[in-house]
Amino acid sequence: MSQMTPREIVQELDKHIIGQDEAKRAVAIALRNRWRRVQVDEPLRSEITPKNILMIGPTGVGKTEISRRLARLAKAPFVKVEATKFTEVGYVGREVDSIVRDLMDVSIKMTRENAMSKVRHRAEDSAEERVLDALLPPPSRNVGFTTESEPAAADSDTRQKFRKMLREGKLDDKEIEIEIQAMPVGVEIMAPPGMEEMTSQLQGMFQNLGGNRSAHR
Amino acid sequence: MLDEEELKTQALEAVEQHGIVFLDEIDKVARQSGTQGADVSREGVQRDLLPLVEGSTVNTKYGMVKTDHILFIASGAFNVSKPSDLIPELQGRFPIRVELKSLTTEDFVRILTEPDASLTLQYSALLGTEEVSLEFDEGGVRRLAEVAFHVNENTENIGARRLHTVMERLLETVSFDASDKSGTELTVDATYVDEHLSELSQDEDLSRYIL
Repeated sequence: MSQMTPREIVQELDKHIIGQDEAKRAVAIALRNRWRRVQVDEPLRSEITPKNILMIGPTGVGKTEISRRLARLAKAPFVKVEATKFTEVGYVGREVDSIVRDLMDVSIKMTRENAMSKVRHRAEDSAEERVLDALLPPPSRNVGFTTESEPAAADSDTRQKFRKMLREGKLDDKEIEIEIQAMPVGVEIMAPPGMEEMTSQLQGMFQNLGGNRSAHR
Repeated sequence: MLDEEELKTQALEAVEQHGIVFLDEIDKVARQSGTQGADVSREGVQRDLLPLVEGSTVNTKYGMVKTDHILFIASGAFNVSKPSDLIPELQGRFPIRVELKSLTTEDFVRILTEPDASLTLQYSALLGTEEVSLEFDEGGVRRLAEVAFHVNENTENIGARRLHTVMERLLETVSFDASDKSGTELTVDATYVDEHLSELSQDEDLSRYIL
């Protein structure tokens, strides 16, 4: 979540949108209030509800642009929807609950990206190990009776040498074969309008069915 | 390496505590005074929005999401309808009202030049790929802004988007010829703008269709 002060937010918006200071201030305050609320202790925190904003103005003066820029600044799950896309529950068309579902999808994606950038280093390390394993298969341990006799050989001299070559990029043109988990087969399903929920459930089901096979690459 | 369950919890937390929803075109679901009958996509939608804005629980495939603390920002032109045409309950849920002003010539000048990715920069960069150097001098920008403002006044006011249509029209010839004319330079000044646009901006009927 963004820690920018209202002033900083307005400055950032100023870079892209001319004028409309009142609206900029309002959204900046609203954004900052999100941060403030999180600092407040429970149980008062859950009592504080956001003050929603209504922007009024002719077309083409920056309403949508403000929201687009705000989305980038917010570092929080953000969706923009057109109110005209929805119909009342029970009629053909999207219902408003799907807004929250979309928001949740956005959030999942965001959280995943965050988490991935955190484990990036570890992932690179373990990728390196995998590559080295493939280049120098570890001496098979279950041969005869010598099962326990050579455990520390994993980081032998040759392995170190290969690691060095790998980091220097000398092995870039080598091809290796490793086992990876196959990506679950994606199944796209077209659903009648208003039944998107069912689609996502079906998709999840198909992915589980096909999942967890390994393949060679 | 990623714990899917942990991910879900975090994402859920992020939505409930920090989520922001931008509801565009809210005025289009306001009931126009005078219409009657089944209004499937207007008042009904407003009534459906109510619990969401108010705070309710929505079932998603990642679990139940409480919407109590999601921030809603609604926006609308309210050309035909007024904010007071929204159902009262919904009006009450948007305590902060801000008005955005119509743009002036001065605003247009700034829009053309100041933003990080201003239109003038965009076009210069586009033509730069053909090695045509395109520049806008102060007078040219001002004239362009005036034309845009004038057209907005006399036909439909579409705000800053007018600049796109005007700009596209202004540079139509250059854009077409640029590929054959690499290495040339062009400076857009007031005279250039007048040459290419005055005819159109004077003739109201024509600009209704073209600009």
